[in-house]
Amino acid sequence: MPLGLFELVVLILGAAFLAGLAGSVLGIGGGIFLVPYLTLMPFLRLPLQEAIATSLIAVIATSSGAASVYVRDRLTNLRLGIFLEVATTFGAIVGAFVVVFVPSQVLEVAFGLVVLYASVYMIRTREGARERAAIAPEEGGIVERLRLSGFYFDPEDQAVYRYRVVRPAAGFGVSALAGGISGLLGVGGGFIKVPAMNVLMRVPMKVAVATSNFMIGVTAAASAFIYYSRGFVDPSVAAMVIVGVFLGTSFGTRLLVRAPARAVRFAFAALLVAVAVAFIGSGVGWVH
Amino acid sequence: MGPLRERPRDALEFARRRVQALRKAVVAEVADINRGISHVLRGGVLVSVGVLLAGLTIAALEGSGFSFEVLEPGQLLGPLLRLQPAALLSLGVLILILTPVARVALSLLSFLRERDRRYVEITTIVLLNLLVGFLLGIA
Repeated sequence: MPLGLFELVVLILGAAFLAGLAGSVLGIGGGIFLVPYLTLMPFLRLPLQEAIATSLIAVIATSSGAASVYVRDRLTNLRLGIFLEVATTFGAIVGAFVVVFVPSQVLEVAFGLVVLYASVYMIRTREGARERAAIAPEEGGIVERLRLSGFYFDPEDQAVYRYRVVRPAAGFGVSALAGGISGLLGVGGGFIKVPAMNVLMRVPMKVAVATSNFMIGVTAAASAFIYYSRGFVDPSVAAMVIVGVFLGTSFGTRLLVRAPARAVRFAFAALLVAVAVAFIGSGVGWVH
Repeated sequence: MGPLRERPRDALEFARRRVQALRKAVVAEVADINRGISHVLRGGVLVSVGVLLAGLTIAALEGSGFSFEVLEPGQLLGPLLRLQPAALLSLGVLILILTPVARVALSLLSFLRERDRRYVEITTIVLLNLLVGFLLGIA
């Protein structure tokens, strides 16, 4: 059923605006909200594959719109992003084949528990000026050879912070997992990449958000093209989504730069709790 | 500088210097990897939004409603030249999907120019992975 003007403008443009806003502040593409919204919202009720396709478009729009600002402001760690993209793109390909053999309930519950752990960790850990300039052990191995560590300017307190990246191998592994999940669910996987960088690799929160934002567009592009060539993209819906997200990211990018890192972490942790509950609920069978 | 018409040679020299300075600025802008990537991402989004808005406006003026079938990249050219809204919308979506790919390609070029062998390899792997994904999608 073709959608009318009202549905397109109010329900889709509005949601896309919010997705772009939240996505650019939290380093996610917003697919985690958009897919359920588009399939479940009365008046819309898009078929799942069309919802996933639309959501992937939104992820690319959020990523490109927000990353252009964060890259220019040097909040994004380009090298770290490109390094982890090897893992996410590889994971997306492998995931599409392997995931068939694992029961999805097991996957969902396991996944929910991991996400819950990350949220608790993020709420409990402080991120003040001292923590941001984390005193890491001597650099060596991959981090030094690939020059993954970096620095960024934080307008919150007008300071430049140098940070060191730790545990590159663990971060690489988790990113590969994130890639596998994003291809499967039609999401960018930012809700895994941000904690992987912030919690595991000790990257400051805002840099983790900006770098995740940078990466999710590439992860989504490969899947989006697949959905496009199979005819699941409704161009009129996609157009509304892109315009809405574009407006949302214009506000969101300004918000992140000024917001206190603590508030961003807290908002992100709240998001993770919601995601974890949804996954565990779905895995155990409360929700269908 | 005196009045220009009295010294055409000076004016010429002045213009030449301006062009040189401008070219230098442009080259510096492009050579900076951060700025280059930022421009590609922003440009991709802006062009896509522009094409989409044109498509939506034409559709609204024609009063033909907003729902369209998606067009294959191969069949886009003809309808595009006739400014059909469906073709414009499809093109806008395609431009957006290809924007991150263009970004990866540009970073590869930048690392090549910097002769950063490790990152040339890493970026090539990312590009190949994307290519494999695209090919698997078509198959």
